[in-house]
Amino acid sequence: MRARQDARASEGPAVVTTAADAAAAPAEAAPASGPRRPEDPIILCESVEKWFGDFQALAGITTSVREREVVVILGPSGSGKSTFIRTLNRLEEHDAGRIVIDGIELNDDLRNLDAIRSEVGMVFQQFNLFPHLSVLRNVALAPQKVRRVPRAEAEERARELLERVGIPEQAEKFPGQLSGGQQQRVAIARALAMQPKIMLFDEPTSALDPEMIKEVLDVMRELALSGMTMLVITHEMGFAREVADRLLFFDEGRIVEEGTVEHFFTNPQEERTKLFLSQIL
Amino acid sequence: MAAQASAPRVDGRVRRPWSVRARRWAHDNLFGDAWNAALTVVTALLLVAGVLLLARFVFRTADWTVIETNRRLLTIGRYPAGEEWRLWPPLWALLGVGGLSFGLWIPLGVRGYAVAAGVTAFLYLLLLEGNNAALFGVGVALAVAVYAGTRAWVVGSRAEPRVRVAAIVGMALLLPLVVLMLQLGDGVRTSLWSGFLLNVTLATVGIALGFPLGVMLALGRASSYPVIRWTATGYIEVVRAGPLVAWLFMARFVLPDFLPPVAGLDELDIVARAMLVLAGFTGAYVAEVVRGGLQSLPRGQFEAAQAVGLNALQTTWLIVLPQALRAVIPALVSQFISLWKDTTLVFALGLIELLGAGEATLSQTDFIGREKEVLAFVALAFWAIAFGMSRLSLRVERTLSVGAS
Repeated sequence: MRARQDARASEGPAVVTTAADAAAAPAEAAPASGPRRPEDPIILCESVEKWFGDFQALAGITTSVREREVVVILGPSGSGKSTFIRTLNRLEEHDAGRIVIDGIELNDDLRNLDAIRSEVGMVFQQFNLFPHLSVLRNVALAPQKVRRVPRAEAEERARELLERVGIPEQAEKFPGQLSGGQQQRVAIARALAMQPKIMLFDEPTSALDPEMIKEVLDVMRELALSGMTMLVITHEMGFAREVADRLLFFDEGRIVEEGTVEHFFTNPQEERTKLFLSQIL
Repeated sequence: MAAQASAPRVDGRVRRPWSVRARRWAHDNLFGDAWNAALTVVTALLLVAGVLLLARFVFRTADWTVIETNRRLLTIGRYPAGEEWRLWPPLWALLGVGGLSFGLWIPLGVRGYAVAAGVTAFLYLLLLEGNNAALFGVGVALAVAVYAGTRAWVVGSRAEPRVRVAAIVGMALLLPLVVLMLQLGDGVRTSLWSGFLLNVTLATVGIALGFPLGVMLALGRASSYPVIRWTATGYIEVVRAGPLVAWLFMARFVLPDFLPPVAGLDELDIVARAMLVLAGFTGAYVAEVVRGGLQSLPRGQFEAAQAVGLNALQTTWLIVLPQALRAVIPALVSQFISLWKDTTLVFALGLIELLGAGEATLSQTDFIGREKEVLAFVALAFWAIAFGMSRLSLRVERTLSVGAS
């Protein structure tokens, strides 16, 4: 299907496991915090738990993501999928377990946090662009302030990114003047401006009108093909079928089932997965 | 038919002749139904009566010599003769920075020019004494030149960002400049600052210090550190619980006992005390206004800022405050207008500002019974500044709202 995927297929057998298998297998030779070997997963989660008051949002998430992998996360609302990807750049602090991103342990050490935030880009359902800044400034701001890139250089790079997401002509406009699809593409460009190694997408097309979903998915597809490591929460099964290397199905704060697209569409094992898939397909 | 033929054409269509449009407008806006028509007539009568009464007062019954004679008392009060030269450089600086700021941010329309001309003419009449006219003329010429130069050469040029920074620095330097000029060498004791000059100085200092204080208090109140949050909240609630006059009396009689006898703090200048109280009081109210703005920001803004790696300070400065403050400009200006009028309360400290100076003129034997003229003048002066602040804030709001959805 894709050269990239084929190349990876030769690295080893496609992972097809259920949560039970994953728990049984020893966490794949969990490396200690420190420089990551190329073959180690870029994201490593072990028994991650998160509570909101008395409500357990994450009840022990153990999984890992390899570099250049595209993982689509499915699940009913309230299943913890959004909370999960938000723990990966510490918009939510996990209460138990450990998370290692690119060899850096996520903990209270602020230097680690800064390092991780600059490696992990995030795209939100509601875009969350900065409405008081022009599109160009939205994209150029973080590299300039966080990475100390000179303004002219940051803006030139921002223009290239806007070109890449297909809206170079909107650079001087303000977010409020753009359509939802255009805003979400700016949001993607803004995240890419920090040159992240991982991109998190939290239902990026759920707030969009149907005719704008495609333009955003096109950008995400191009990104996936370019080799970006991506975690995507979405209900767009066509997109998942096309680009996902692996799917995770969340329910009640756990990964209930995990496998390839093929596995999910032809041979889901768990009742809850089947029920969910029958509802959204 | 003739009217039809001569009617102006717009987009190839014949516009309705003005007589038809006028009738239409009158019907839509004034005489829609019997009730509206009655309201229109009554309001019009009241309006005409009001204008006639006012005109009769201004041009017939009033005797403005009380104002003319006391121009000096009303504007600078007990400010010593022979020291006026100290006031001109700060005024020129103000006009220069003003011209620059308007040129950069608030280009004037036809109405803007009309208002500026009106204000200039009024001030000119007020100041016309000795060589004041010439000195004032220098300032006006400076403002006009800077404004025109900025519009012509700076706006849109490569230098614009740098000039903007210069303008902001200039504004920040104005206040120290005033104080310096007034105190330089064998300066004017602050207890002699009075009249309109005192109102303007107090309000400016009150805003210049109270605004940042308020922003810091609001941020403090929203802080996740309990000690900071409690301190800010405590300050705000205590200050707002007392009337301003009470705080001013406290500053006069109680404050010295609480200040350490270091560097003459316990004998703190009375005008400085007024400034501190006005700034501190305004700060508490500004804090609550700004807090409203902070709360109006969606959580997603903080999350997006964090996600791209901005730290807390950068998030506050670049993302949160610009949006929060923009959202509360009307309420902020309201607070500043309030402060402007509250400067009259410094009578509690024994200071003589414009209203007090007005009262003083009434004790002059020549002008006993001239309350109406004096009060009308004082009211006009306060209204002019308050209205100016209000219009200015509208302009700022419109300039800033570019692109905001």
